[in-house]
Amino acid sequence: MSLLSAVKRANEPGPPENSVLFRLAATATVVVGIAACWSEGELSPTVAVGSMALVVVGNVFSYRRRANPLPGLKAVLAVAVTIAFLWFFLTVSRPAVVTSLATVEGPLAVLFTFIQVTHAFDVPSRRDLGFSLAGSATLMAAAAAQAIDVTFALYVVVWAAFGVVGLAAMWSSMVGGARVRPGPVALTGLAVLVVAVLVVAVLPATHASSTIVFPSTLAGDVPLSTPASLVGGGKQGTQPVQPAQAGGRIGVGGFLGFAGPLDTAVRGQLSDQVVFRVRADRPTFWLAETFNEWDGQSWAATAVRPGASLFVPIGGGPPFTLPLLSGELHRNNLDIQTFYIAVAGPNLIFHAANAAQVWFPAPRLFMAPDGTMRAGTSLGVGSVYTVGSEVNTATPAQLVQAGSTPSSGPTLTPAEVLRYTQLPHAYPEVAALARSVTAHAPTVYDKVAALETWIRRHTVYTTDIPPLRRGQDAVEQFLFGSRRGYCEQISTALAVMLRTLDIPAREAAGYVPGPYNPLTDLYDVQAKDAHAWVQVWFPTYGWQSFDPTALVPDANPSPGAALVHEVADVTGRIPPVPVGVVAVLVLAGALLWRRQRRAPKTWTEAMSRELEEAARRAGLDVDASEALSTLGRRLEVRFAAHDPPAPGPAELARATEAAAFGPAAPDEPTRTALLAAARRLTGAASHLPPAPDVTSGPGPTPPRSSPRQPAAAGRP
Amino acid sequence: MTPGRRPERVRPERALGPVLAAVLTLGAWGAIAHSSGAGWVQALGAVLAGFFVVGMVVPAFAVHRAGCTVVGSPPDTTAGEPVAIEIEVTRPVRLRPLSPPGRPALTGRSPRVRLEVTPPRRGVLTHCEVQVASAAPFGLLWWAKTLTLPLVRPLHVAPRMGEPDPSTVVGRTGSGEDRRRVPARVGEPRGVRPYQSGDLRHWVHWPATAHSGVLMVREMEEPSARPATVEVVLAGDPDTADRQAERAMGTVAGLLSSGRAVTLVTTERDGPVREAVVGVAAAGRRLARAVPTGPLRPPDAAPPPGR
Repeated sequence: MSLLSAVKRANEPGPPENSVLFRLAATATVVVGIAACWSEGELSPTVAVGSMALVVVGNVFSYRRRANPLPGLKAVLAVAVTIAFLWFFLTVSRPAVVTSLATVEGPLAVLFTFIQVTHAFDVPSRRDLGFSLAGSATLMAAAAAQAIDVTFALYVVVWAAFGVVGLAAMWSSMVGGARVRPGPVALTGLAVLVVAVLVVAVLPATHASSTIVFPSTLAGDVPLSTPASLVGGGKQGTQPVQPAQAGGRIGVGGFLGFAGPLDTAVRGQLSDQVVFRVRADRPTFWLAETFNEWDGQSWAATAVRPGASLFVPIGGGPPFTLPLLSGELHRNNLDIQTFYIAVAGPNLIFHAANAAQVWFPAPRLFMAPDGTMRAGTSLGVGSVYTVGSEVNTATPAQLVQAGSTPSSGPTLTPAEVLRYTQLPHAYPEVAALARSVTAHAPTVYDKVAALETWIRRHTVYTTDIPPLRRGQDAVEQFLFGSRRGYCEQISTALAVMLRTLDIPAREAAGYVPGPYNPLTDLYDVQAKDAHAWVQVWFPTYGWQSFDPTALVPDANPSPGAALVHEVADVTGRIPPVPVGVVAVLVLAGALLWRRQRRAPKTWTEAMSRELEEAARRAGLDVDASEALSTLGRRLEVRFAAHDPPAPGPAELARATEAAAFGPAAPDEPTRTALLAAARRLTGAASHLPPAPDVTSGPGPTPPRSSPRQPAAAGRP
Repeated sequence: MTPGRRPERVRPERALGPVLAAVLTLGAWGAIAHSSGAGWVQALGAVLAGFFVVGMVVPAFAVHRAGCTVVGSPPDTTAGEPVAIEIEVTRPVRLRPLSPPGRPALTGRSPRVRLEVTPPRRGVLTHCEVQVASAAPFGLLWWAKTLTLPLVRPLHVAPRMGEPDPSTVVGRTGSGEDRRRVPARVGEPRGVRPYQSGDLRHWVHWPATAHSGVLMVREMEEPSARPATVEVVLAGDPDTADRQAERAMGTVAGLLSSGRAVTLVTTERDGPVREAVVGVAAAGRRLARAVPTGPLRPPDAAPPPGR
């Protein structure tokens, strides 16, 4: 077989596909794919809605013409697709457009959508519908590349559900039109889900390749009049932050650490709101600011020289290559982190410690001597930037050895040592405590460890601490007073104790990694993940982070408060919409089940019930032991003067008894007609005038309560 | 064909293409997801992997659990002619008859499938061998197993209608009743005809001669009650035996169609059988059961026990 004939054979149209379910499911997968691209901002609303409509129209057209496709249609569609490809290549080849992989994905989504729309008009056979199904996966992939939160799961689940139904319908069509049963299809979908979850659990996390351009976009950004100033303190992204005040506002993002000075006297309340998401090679502290100057209540970051600007501009980006600071070592092992801003926050550039490169779509950034950074614009929702940080985490053994040999690494100048051992006063009690705790710790690392151990043993963690009085020293109050506190008090105490031992230390503020989402491969950093910790200087290894708060045990809360907190926490985590939908479905199912249980099982039972109901509405007493024909005759008497609908109640009762006990049951049309007549009779009974006040029917008045048993259960 | 059920080994059909396509697709997908760092792309790839795994593995279980029963089969057929066997299946599958061969059939909506098979040789079939295949639930990969199913009743496959033995063929030019008459020199008188050269003198029928004025003679036919005996000796070679059976079939059919009673002598599994055949179908059954034989027994030999 020649190549040409093979190609011709491969392109021969298959037999027309008649399965409507298969076609509906395939169309639905494409529509869901387009909607997903729309939701991720890759398609404009006009393009998305128009494409969805055209896909539906195209599939209807294809179904109608499946046995007789329009001649020349394939050629027209092929030309259209070729033009679309040309458009795509011209678009992505413009240098001004391609700044990262993400910028290609938009045109790619448009191209995929266009292909699906054109293809929808020529889908006569099973193979073509299969292509629609497969093609919808590419649309979903284009959308997935931009998705960063769990709401995308909705699209994935719906798309997968339609995919399961579509493939099941395809298989049904392959075997000659077997019925697609919901149960097995649901089980199959469940199996797909289980395998998918297992695969997700087994696969290693994704890592952005360092050979591509990292994502960085700005959204809702406004240039700042004073570029290096800290903004983001209010609803307006450009509003400058204000120093936190007791009883006043609670700071940027709910955390006081991002409001300029870190005032340990102010109590904040942190929420569960996701403030940003991070895709990173590994979890670490997302550093925002460090503070060098402690005044007894607040931390502040000050310039090296009085009157000088703390932040200096950095150009040449993106990417911005940060100048080598004294605390950094090599730039050969970058830890890449991409930040996706979820709520408008401060113009701080969060990063893992020792940032070396920043991909940020602005002509310049501002950097402090401690390595922290600020943007020259406000950062709105949807802003994205990427930071590469030098991995500089030393092992405890290395830190124990640090300083024992001549250092080949970074060193601190005497001025810097003074800067990071500054104290507002002598702290004699704190110094004595620190010396006694570290009496048997020869190295810096040992001293840090000894102090952390002491804090762990003698303090408790709680956010419920009394306010600090004006002029009261926060460290002394914490160490020699309540010994209760949270990250700010605990880390500050460690930093101050280290400084009393002339060990350079500084306060760091930012976020802990936050919960990792395996589906998005992102760390969802919430407002309550805001944190303060300590950075300690080690010769050779530079600034190393220590988190004494993590070791401190929780304070014993009161049972009532704990219960209220737990209940509020649990109820706060319940998603209202899914739970509401499930509740409604359960309720509807229960009602349906109840109605099914109450529904008559057989035709004779239904007829009996109708006649009994008619008798009750006509004012007659109903006896369960009474023969139905007798009841029918009594009803006949009751209706005698009021023109009952034909056939009359006596005839209906006789027919019912004949069906129940006779040799042959009436056929289906007859049964339907008789049941309809019985219902008409029941309706007419409601309009009868009141019965005369005499006991009707033979014998004594029967009790009203006992229900009539089905005349012949199981009979038609 | 060996009676009884064979071990059911479920095997994939032409698996290389689908498996390779799935591996390549997932590999490329994973590479893109891993290098782009997009978690949802990887999650979506996991869903695709779920589709592939379920679509390629579950059919094995579907085939393994698929049951088939023959619920209808005819008693007779002829070699080379299609015959329908009705099979009930427990789930949608594709059935391909292997022995006897035939056209594959799909279950469709009904659990009963009419499987058209064409036995190539004469014989008695008590079982049929079918391949049961399924690609449920997604149609991505076919898995199949072979089942040997007992028929409802033995299927007698008669030999094809072969050329009759020339010695039994007589000239037949007439039609209707004439075709059934076998002229003979002695036998039953059936009418008169003009004299022909060679006719015997005592055949002259004088009243007819006087009546017509032409010398007329009696016409005789062979007595129809005397049966013809056809002895079938089949060779050990199946092809040769089939040809011999076909020839015997043609001979018997010819004799029967000419009105002759036929006694068919064959050798069956239990021994020689000498019995009259009342029709072509009966002859077909006898020839279907016939097996290659050694020397025939004398006609008057006692039948084997149980006959």
